[in-house]
Amino acid sequence: MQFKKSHIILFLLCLLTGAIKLMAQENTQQGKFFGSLQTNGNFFIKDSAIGASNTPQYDNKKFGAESWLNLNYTQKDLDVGIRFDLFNNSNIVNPTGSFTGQGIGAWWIRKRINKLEVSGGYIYDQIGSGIIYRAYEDRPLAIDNALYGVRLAYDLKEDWKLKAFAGKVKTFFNSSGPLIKGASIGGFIAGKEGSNWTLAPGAGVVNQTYDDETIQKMVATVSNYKESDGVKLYHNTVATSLFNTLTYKNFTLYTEGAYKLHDVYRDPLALVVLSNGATTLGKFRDDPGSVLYGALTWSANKLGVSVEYKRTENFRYRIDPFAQGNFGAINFLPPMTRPNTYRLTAFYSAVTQELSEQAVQGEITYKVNNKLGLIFNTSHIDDLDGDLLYREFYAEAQMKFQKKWYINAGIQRQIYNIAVYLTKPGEKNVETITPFADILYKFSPKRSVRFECQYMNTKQDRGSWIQALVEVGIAPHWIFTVSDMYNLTNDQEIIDKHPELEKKTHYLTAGAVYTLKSNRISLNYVKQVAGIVCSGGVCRFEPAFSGFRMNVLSNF
Amino acid sequence: MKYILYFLSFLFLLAGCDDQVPIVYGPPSNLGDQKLIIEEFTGVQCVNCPQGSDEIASLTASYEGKIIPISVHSGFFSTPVPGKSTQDFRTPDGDFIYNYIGPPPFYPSAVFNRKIFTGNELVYNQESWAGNVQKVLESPAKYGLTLETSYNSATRELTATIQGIAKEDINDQILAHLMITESNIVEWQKYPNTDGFIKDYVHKHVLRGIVSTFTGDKVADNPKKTQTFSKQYKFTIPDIWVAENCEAVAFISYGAKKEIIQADSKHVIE
Repeated sequence: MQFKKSHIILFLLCLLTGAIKLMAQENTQQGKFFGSLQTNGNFFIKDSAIGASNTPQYDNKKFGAESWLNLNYTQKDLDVGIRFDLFNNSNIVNPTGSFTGQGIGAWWIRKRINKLEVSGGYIYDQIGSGIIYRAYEDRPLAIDNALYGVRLAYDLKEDWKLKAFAGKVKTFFNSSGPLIKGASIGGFIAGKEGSNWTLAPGAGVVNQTYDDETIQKMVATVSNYKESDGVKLYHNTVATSLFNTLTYKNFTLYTEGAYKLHDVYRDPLALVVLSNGATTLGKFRDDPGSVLYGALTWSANKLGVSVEYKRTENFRYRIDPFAQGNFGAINFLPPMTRPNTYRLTAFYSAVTQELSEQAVQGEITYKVNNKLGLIFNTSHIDDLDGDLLYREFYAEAQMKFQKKWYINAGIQRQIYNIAVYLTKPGEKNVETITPFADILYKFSPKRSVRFECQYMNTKQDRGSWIQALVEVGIAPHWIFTVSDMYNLTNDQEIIDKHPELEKKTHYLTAGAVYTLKSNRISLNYVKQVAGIVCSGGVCRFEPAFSGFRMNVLSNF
Repeated sequence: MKYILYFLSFLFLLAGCDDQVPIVYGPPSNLGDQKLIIEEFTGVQCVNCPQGSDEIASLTASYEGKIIPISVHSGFFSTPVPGKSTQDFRTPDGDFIYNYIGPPPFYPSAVFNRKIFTGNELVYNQESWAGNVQKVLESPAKYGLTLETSYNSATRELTATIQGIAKEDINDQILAHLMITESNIVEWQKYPNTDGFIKDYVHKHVLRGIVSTFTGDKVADNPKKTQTFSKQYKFTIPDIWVAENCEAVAFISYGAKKEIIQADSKHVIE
C-alpha cells in the first residue's frame, strides 16, 4: 500500500506537535529544533563559442534552480525530520537536460527504546566503508539514494551492535522496484589493560530482490542475445563484506573484503552477439564481483604516512542493470586519488572504475616547523589487465610568515587515460605538469587578499591552460573574487579536434560572497569550460556553463 | 567474535538459495499484429549513439515487420559537427518531439509507442530497450491500421491514406499522426574509433518532418468495436529529401494520453 505524500506530511506534523507537547508535559529534557536551507539558482546565457548552448536552459528555460529545506526536531531519544526538495528546470540531474519536480524529498523518525533503535522513512547509512552498501546524498551530482524503509539497530553488548534494514532505494521522488535488505554486525575489542592494540571487526550482507517487472525486462534483454552469449539471471543478489580496523600504537589499519554474487550488471565495453547474429556493444554480465581494500595510516609527532590499496573486479552494484550513470547505486567504492581542489589540478579526475581497477595511493605529510608543512602524494591506477589508467605525483609546501603571509605552492604530474575515462578510444594518454601557487596576505585581521595561479602544461587533449584568481576578503561579511582561465594551445591538430578553442576565450568568473552569522549568500558570473566534475570519487561530464550562479546556505 | 561467526553462518544460508530465472532465447514466436514505433533520441555528436542505432536495427530485424524506427535529432548532442557536417538534421518538428515526449535525460535513449513502463518515464536507456519492445509486441492490438501511399514524381506530392478499425471499445479520442523519415543519408557522425568520427556514416530513419498536426488529428471519438476511420494527407516532399529513401510513418494515439495504439509505414516510392 502506498501512502500519499499529504498523509505523510500530516503524520509528521502530528508527530512534531506530539513531540513538542510531550516536551512541555515532561519538561525533563529540552527539545531542539534546527534546520538548514540550501538554494542554487542558475541563469543561463547562451554562448555557442564555448559550447554553452543547445540545452533546454540555453534554448528557452533560461533559469534553473534547486533547493533543499531541512527541518529537524530532536528530544531525548527521539529524532524526527523532514526535507522539502525542489528542482526547477534543473540541470544537475542531467547536465544536458532539464528536470522539474518538487515535494517531500525525505522524512525520517528515529527513536531509541533501551537497547533498540528504530528508524523509519528515508534512511542514510552504510556498511563498512560503503563497498557493499552506502545510502548517501551528494547534491552537486544529484545523488540521493536513501533507503526508503525501516532500520533496526540493537546493542548486543556494550561494544557490539547489530543492524538490519529493509526497503527500497530512493530515486528522486520515487523509490525503485527492487527490494533491498541488509544486516551488519560490528564490535570493538580492546587488549587487556595496558595493551596498545584494539580491533573493530565487522561483517555485513546486502540482499536485493528484483520485482517481477524488472525480472521481465532483464529476461527480455537477455533473450535477445544469442544463447551462447547468455547469462544467468537470479531473483536475488547477495553482496557481503568482512571488515576490521586494527590499531596498534600509532598505526591504524583498515581492511575490507567484499564479494558479490548472482548480480547482473551491464558492461558497456563488452561485445554481445544478438539472436539474429548481429554484434553490438554493451552486454549484461553475471560474473561474481569482488573488492579488496586496505588503508594503513601511521602518524608520529610531525610525520604522517598513509598507504591505500584497492582491487576491484566486476563490482558495479545498482538497483538493476538498467540504471544509468551514477543513479540507482547501492554501494560506493572509495576513490583512490587525491581529492584535488584547485581548478587545473582537478581538471582531469580519475573516476572510480567499477569493473576493473587495481589502485594504490600513498601520502606523506611532514610538519617541518610551525612555518613550514609538506605534503607528498602519489597514486597509481591500472586496470586488471595491467593497462595504465592513472598516475599522479603531487607535492605541496604550506608556508606561514609573520602571521601575515600564507603560501601554498606545489606541483602536480598526471598521466590520465582519456580513452577510458572520457570514452575517447584511440586518444593518447594525457600527460600534464601543473605548478600552482596560492598566496594569502593579511593586511589586518579583517582585511586580506588571496592570489592563486595555476599553469597546466600538456600536449594532449585540449592542450595547456592557465588560471589565475584574486580574492579580497573583508571579514566577517564579504569575499570578492575574480578569476580567469585561458587556453594556451596553438597546436592546429588540437584546435581542429576542439573547434571551440579557435576563438581564444577568456573563461572569466567574478562574484561576491556575503556571510552573516550562519547564512551565506553568493552571486557569481561564471564562464566555465566543459569538463568532468567529481565529488567523492564519483564523476560525470558537464557541458560548458555561461551565466550567473547564485547560492544561498543557511543554518538555523 | 562469536557474533561474527553467527553472522557468517547466516550468510551461507542466504547464498545457498537457488532462484535462477528461466530464459527462452530468441524473439517470441506467438506475436499478434501489434506494431511498435521507436522514437530514438540521437545526435551526430553523440559518440555512443551509433551502438544504440545498431541495437534498434538488430531488434527491427529480429521482429521483422513489427518495428518502425524514427531517429529524432534534437538536443545537445545533435548540433552539427563544426567544420565537418554538411547538413543539419535538427528540425522544429524534431524539437517539438524532443520536448513533447522528452527531453531525454541521456543519449542514446528511446521512446516505445510513447508508453510508460516504469514511474512516469517515457524515455528509456539502451539497456531496457529489448524488454520494452517485447512488452509492446506481446500485447494484443486494440486497433487494426493500414497506410497506403501514392507518389507523384513530377510534382513530388505524396498522398497518404490511413485507415483504421477498432478491435475493442475505447473510451477516448483517437488521434492520427503522419511523419516522414529518410534513410541512407551519408554524413559525419561522432564514433568510438581512433579518429572520434566517421565521415561516411549512414544515417537511417532520420525524422524529416511531421505532416499531421504535431499532437495528432482527431479521427474518432470513443470508438466502438469494428468502428472504422479513414484519414488522408497530402504533402509535397522537399527537393532536398531523396524521395526514394523516404518513408511515411503513420500511427494513432489516444487523446487523453500520448500512448500510441497502432502504427504502420510505407516507403514513399514502393
